[in-house]
Amino acid sequence: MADGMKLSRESLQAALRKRGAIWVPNDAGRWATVEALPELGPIRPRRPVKDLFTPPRREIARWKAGAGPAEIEPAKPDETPGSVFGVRPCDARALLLLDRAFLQAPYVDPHYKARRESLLLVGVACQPGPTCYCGVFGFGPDDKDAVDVMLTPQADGFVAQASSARGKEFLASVAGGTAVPLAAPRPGPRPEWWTGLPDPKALYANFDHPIWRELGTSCMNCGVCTQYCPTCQCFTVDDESFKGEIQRLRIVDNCQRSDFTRMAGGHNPRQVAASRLRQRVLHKFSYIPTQNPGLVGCTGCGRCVELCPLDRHLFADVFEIMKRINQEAERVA
Amino acid sequence: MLRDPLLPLAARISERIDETADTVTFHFELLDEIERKAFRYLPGQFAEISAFGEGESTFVIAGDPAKPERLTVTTKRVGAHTEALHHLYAGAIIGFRGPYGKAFPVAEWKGKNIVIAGGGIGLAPLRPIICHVLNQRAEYGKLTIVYGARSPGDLMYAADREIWAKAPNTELVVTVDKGDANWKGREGFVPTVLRATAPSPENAVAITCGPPIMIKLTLPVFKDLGFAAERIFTTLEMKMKCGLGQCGRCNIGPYYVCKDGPVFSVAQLQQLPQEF
Repeated sequence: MADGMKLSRESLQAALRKRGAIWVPNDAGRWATVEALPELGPIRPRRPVKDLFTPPRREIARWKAGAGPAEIEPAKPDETPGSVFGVRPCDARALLLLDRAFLQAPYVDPHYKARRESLLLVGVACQPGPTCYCGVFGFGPDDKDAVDVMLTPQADGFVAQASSARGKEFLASVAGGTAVPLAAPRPGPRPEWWTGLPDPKALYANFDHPIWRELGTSCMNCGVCTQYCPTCQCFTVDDESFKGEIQRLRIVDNCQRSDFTRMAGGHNPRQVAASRLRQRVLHKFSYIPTQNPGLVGCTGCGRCVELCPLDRHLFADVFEIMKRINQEAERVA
Repeated sequence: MLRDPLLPLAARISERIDETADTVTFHFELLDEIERKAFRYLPGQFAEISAFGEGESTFVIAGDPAKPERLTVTTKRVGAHTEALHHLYAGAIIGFRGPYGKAFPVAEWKGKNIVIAGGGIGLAPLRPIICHVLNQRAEYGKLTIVYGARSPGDLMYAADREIWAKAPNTELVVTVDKGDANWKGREGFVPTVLRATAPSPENAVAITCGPPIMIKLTLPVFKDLGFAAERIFTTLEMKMKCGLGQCGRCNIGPYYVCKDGPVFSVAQLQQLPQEF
C-alpha cells in the first residue's frame, strides 16, 4: 500500500503561507483568502471552486469614456502564487472539463491559465452529503486525480499524498512529516436505484422524444442549477460604464434563460422551456461525452439537486429518460 | 504574454454606405499596422464587432478576401448594439475580433459552376464568395447569382451589382417581392425566380443565405433542380458571443457553430437536431 505523509496542521499551514495566498471556502461558502486554515464543513462548499478560475464576472479590458478605445487597457491575469485549501474531488474534476474549454489552442484564456498555473490545489477528503453522487462517475470522496495534494483529515492533522509533480514538491517543503500507510479510498455515493451512465448516442437519438416536454413543464428555467454547477462554462460579453470609465466584462450566463439563444432579430431556436432543459441534459450527458470520450459534463456534486426550488432531480430525470427510451427499444425489439 | 482572445483590436471606419433604410455597410481597417498587414480571412468567416461601450455582436466579414486590409461588415439595425453602430461614420473607431469559424470550401470548388441564391442582408456572407470567384475568374465555371429583396429599396450592394452584371461568364438575376412605380426589373420570391432561372446542377455547387423562410423554401428548389445535399451550402445563424467555442451559446448537438460552422452543407445540417 502506498505511503501517505502525516502532517500537523501547523506545519501544513506554515508551508502554505510560504507559498503565498491561501484560498479557502469561508463561512458563506465562498472562496476567500485567509491567514489561518479554517475547520472545513463536512461536504463541498456552496460555491464551486471554478469561481477562482472562471469567475462569475471578470474584466476583459477598460478604457476612459470618450478617450478613444485605441487606449484600451487589458485586464491583467492574476499570477499571484498561492494555494486553494479544501478543494473537493467533484469540484477538482470539474476543472479538468473547464481545462478543455479554456486551455485548448488556439484560444487559450490567459486569466484561467494564470490561475491554474499559480494556484496549488490542495484537496480535502469529504463526508458526502445527501445529494452527493460522485460514485455515479466512478470516483469517491478521497479521489486525488484532479488535485495536486490530497489530504485526509485526522484528529491531530492530516494524512497527505501528492498526485502531481508540483504536489510532490510542495509536500517536500512541509516540515516534520512522517510516513504512514494510506487507507483504501472509499467508493463514492450514488442513488440506490441508479443503473449506470446513459449511452450518449442513445440520448441524442431521442432528441425529439416527448419526455423532454413532460420534464420541461416542471422546470421554471430559473437557472440555479447552472449557476452553481462546477462544470458549467457559459458566459456573455458586455460593456458597462461607471464613473467615466467603460469596462468590457465577461459575465457568467446560463442556458436556461429564455433569451440565451435569442437573436437580435427575435428568432430563438430554444424558445420553449423544455428545449432548454433538454439542452442542459444533453450537453452534459451526450454532447460532452461524444466530443471527449471518457468525460461527462457532470461530476455528481449534487448542488443542482440540493438547490432546485422545484425539487427537480437531475439524476432521477436522466434515469427516467433512459428508462423510457430503453423500454421503448425493448418493445420494438 | 498570451493575449486574451476576448480582447478586441481597434479599427477605424474608412467608409460608410447606407444600403437601405435599416442596413449599413462599414468598410474599416485595423489601426495596428502589424495586425493589419498580417490579417487574412476566407469567405464565410465572421468577426465580433463592437461599438465601444455598447457591447459586441457577430457579423460575417463581407469584404473581398483578396484585399484583407480593407475589412467590411454589413449590419442591419435590429437591437441596441446595431443601433449604436449605426450612429458611427467614417473616422469612428470600432472594436474587432476575428476571423472565426470554418469558411466556405472555395478551394474545393475550383473548376465548378457556382450558383448563389441570396435574400436581403443574406447577400453579405455570399459577397466574399462572389469577389473570390471574380478575382480568380478562370479558375471557376459559370457564376449564377439570384438575389432578391422585399422591395427595390431593400436591395443592397448597388455598386457591386453593376460590376457583377458585366462580369464575364456571370449571370445576375435580381428580383424583388414587390416592385414600385419605378421598378422595371423582375418581381417574385427568390425560390420562384431560382426555379425559373433553372441553373444546371451539372458540375455545380449551390450556396444560399437569407431569411430563414427564404432558405426553407429555396432548399427544395435546389433539390428539385438536381443538386445533391452535399453540394448545397449555407451559413447557420446562431446567437454567438465569444466566437472561440467557449461561451456555450451556439452549441447545437455535439457542435459549436462558431468553431464547427457557421458554414455547413445541407447534408451536414440534416444530421443536426432541428434546433436552429
